[in-house]
Amino acid sequence: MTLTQLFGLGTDLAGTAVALVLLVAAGAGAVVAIRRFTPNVMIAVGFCWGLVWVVRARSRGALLMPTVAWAATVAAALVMTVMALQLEQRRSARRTVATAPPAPTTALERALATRQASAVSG
Amino acid sequence: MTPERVEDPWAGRDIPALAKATLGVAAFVNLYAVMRVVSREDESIATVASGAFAPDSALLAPAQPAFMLWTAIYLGVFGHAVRVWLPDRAAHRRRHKVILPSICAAALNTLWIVCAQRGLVVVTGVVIAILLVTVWLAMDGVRAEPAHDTSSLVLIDGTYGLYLGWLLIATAATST
Repeated sequence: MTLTQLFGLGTDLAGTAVALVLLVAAGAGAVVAIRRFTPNVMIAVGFCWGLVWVVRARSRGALLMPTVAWAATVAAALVMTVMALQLEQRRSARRTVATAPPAPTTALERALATRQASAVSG
Repeated sequence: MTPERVEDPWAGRDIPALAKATLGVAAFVNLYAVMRVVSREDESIATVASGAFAPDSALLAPAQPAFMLWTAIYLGVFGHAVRVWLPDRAAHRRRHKVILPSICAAALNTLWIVCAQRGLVVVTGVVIAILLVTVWLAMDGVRAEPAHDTSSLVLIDGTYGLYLGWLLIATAATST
């Protein structure tokens, strides 16, 4: 049993390599899209729906059983979405830190900040 | 000193009726082309071009039931084409941003069906790649404007999000 047969992609190694590269590129595109258009989960749903049926079509007669294929693809979709959302959260956190005003450093600045805070609190 | 009032350039400006009508026609023609294939008036896409679009023809071709997703996408696009005719002042900016990519996407989708039926496999690859870029642009147009109601969320963000996700895998499948 070769690796290509294991994934149900046939015995053509060059064709399999091209297919896997395209699949990875599509997956990367989906992650970029989910991050960019956060929180649009429908992108992950559309992508994973296609992925499930690609795996299902290829898994006939291979080790990867349809049920396993379904479970693995759905799990991959969830992981992909969560990862993309976490990356987006980290990016926005960095943006917030970058745009926050600098903390007062001199004694005069600290005194002014304290006065402003007490004026605001009334 | 009074703060300068910033005017919303889209306030009170709905998209032109011509753009709405074009989207309606493009979506209707698209739906008609699909219905002809589904009702077997035209040859099935899986059987044309020596089975180039059949599930077993390419390594990344999805199984037949995958194409059921098109029903949800076409209904969403058609719903969007209907929704633009209904009054909604709050959605003018989103509508302006998404209308042109939507028209192009519907037209390109019809072109893809016609090319596939004629057996022009290479052309379908180019068309689906352009379609992917068009749908990306549609999503990009509304990125900065959160949906203000459920219909906008479902018909624009939901439909075109689903469309984009599916096209990413369909483009890879067509390329193999």
